[in-house]
Amino acid sequence: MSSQTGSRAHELGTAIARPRSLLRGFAEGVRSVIVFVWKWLCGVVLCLGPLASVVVVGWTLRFMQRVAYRSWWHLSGRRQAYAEALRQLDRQDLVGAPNWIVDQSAGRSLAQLLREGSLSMIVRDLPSLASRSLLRNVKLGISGLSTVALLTLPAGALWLFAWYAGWNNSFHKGYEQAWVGPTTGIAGIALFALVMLYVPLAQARQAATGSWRAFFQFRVVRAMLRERWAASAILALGYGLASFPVMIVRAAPTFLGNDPAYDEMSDAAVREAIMSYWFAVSLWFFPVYLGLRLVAAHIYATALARLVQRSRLGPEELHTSEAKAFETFGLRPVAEGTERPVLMRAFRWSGSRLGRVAALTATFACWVGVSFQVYVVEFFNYHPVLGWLNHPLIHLPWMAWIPAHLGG
Amino acid sequence: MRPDRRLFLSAACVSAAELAFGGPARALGQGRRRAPEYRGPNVILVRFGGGARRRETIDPAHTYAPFLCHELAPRGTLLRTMEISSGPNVKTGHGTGTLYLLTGRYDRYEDLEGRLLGERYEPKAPTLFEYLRKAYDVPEHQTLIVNGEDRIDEEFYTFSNHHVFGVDYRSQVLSLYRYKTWLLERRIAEGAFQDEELARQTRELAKMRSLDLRVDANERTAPAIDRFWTRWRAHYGDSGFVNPRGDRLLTELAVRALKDIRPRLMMINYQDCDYVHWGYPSHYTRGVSIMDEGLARIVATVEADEAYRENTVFCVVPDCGRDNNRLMSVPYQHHFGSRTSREIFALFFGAGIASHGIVDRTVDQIQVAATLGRTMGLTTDIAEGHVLEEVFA
Repeated sequence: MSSQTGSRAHELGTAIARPRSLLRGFAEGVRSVIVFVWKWLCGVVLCLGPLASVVVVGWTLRFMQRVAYRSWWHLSGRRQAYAEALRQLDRQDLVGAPNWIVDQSAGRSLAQLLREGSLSMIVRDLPSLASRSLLRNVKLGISGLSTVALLTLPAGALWLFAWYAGWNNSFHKGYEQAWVGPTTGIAGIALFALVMLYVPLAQARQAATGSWRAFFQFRVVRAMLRERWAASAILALGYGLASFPVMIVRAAPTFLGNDPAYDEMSDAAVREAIMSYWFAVSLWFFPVYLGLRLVAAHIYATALARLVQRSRLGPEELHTSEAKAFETFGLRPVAEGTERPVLMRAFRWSGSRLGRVAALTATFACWVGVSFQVYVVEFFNYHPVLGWLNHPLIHLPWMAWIPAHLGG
Repeated sequence: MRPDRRLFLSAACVSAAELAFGGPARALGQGRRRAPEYRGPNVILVRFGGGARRRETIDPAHTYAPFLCHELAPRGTLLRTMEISSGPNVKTGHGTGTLYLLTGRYDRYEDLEGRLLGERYEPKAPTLFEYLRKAYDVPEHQTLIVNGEDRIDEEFYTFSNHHVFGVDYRSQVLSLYRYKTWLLERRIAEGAFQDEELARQTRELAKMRSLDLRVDANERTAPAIDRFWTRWRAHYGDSGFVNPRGDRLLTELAVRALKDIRPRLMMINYQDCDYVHWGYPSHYTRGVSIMDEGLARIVATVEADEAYRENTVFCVVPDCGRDNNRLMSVPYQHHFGSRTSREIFALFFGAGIASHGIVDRTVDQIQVAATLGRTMGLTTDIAEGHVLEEVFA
């Protein structure tokens, strides 16, 4: 009897709880949508300004860090809850997408301050809570941009010089120096393709460790590249494909601007029109920019995990944060399986070697393709100096170019 | 413009005889033609190209062509609002613009080999050179195109495919490409190359000659042109590093041609301001200034020559304009068919041309051919544009 009563009560409780949980789920869903739209639109708007887009670089690096940790957690077999693992690492901030402006734990911290703190503590800590993410984004953005620029700017400078010297020479018909422009341009393309073999994974490592020094550990990054050569080739192909629409939208003002409607418009109205265009472009460009980096972060995470598990990288070669994460997630060297026959090993070795060379060649070719697109854009729509030095998919995610005569 | 019935019937007979008997009929036709001596003014058509806007040329506040704008314009009639038609098959290009000027028609042109951006066109209607040489006894070397080294396609606009005109009435070309071809032929003949090098250079020569698809590759250069290149070689040598370069080369060729070849009709295809396609505004403005300096030198040469001084008509006209694209950092980087890329101007000055004339009514680029035709006393039947009556004194 009593058990029947208990069972009814349980059913009644479940029936009451179900609408509540549905309601909570709905509210959670609405909140997620709002947060998603807010974060997306913030990124889109920040991509519209050269300085503001530094924040996007930093925010993206923080997002990459989350993807790397999540990938390691997946590779560990998910023996514990992700939140628990992050708690052990003291990195609870790595849950969810990073914030643009306010501190990741601002809600909890504010509640705690209100509960325990005095008015003076609130006044002291509130500005920091309200802007901590923004400051981190800026700091990481500058750091992330600097490391990439250090490797890629020489190639950009060669392009810039090749275009300037080459066409200047051509205009003045300096037959004696005709080789300078093409040679410098080809050297710039080759240098760019070469450094871009390295940059995506190095950038992912900088994002995951939060250290610019990690970007320059050439041996580790090279080992990761060798470990995930096919994935790196696919990533380069992704960049190549993504740079195609980027090329089109950057060249498009050449044709759009010949619409007679612009003849009658004021400078302010033209400026507004072009900003609307760039806003529409950024709506899809920002997710593409982010997506490519998140893929890079996943490739980095899996490559590093494999290298450690196969004992190809010692603990001393890892960054302290990587070592700590691997320790917490339980990613340790594992014993090799049974020895394969010699013939099988020879096949594997040669197949792997062949594949690696093919993938490396394909990756190089993809990056050469990306650099050609820069040339195509500049032919159609010349952007003085910065057109050569800033590739929106690689450097600042900014392409909302406003001509100088419109106040840009 | 009424068609000349007698001329048409005569040409039709020659064409029919040509079809029936081939070569001898051509000789018969030429022998029978014996056109009268040309006693009209000399004409110098300056293509102020490639692609120049009104703002940087004839606008006194923004000009980079001070000689054209401040000195020449008052001496003639300036048509400030000349336009290129916005018709469906009308392109704002250099090759097409040149042919619109020479034929007086907006014919549709496609590159002969279908190359992207190629401008190897064959005029469908007679050019001014053909009208002149058909109507008067003017040797081909006295009808000249002075062409640049970057746009070799425009070397071959010397005659049309029109059945009544064509190769028999063609003009000659002075250009670096022609000089290189002439020089290589000479050097081979002089025994400058041996064995494998000789074979290589002979192949190269055959390749250079074969570019002129409609003319027999073994045809000899006209003697007057031969003499011109011989003097050029004696002065500038074989290297190609001594003579002026770019549009300054065109000026030098034109000035020397005036002294040595005595052309009756000459077109100078300036082109270098078009380098702004690569994004550097100074290439455009410098290009305009270099053309202006060239123009000043040619005018001075004409004025210093008694035979030309009172007997020459100049027409300065761009092949096309340039964009004014406000969304771009260099608004005039290209000329992609926009309104301003169709906006050009024309300046006529010289013998029989009204001075201090400014025409602000909208006129058409293809009217240049008919107007120059009238200047030379030609009936440009097949040209479509009407004569610009305002330019005549």
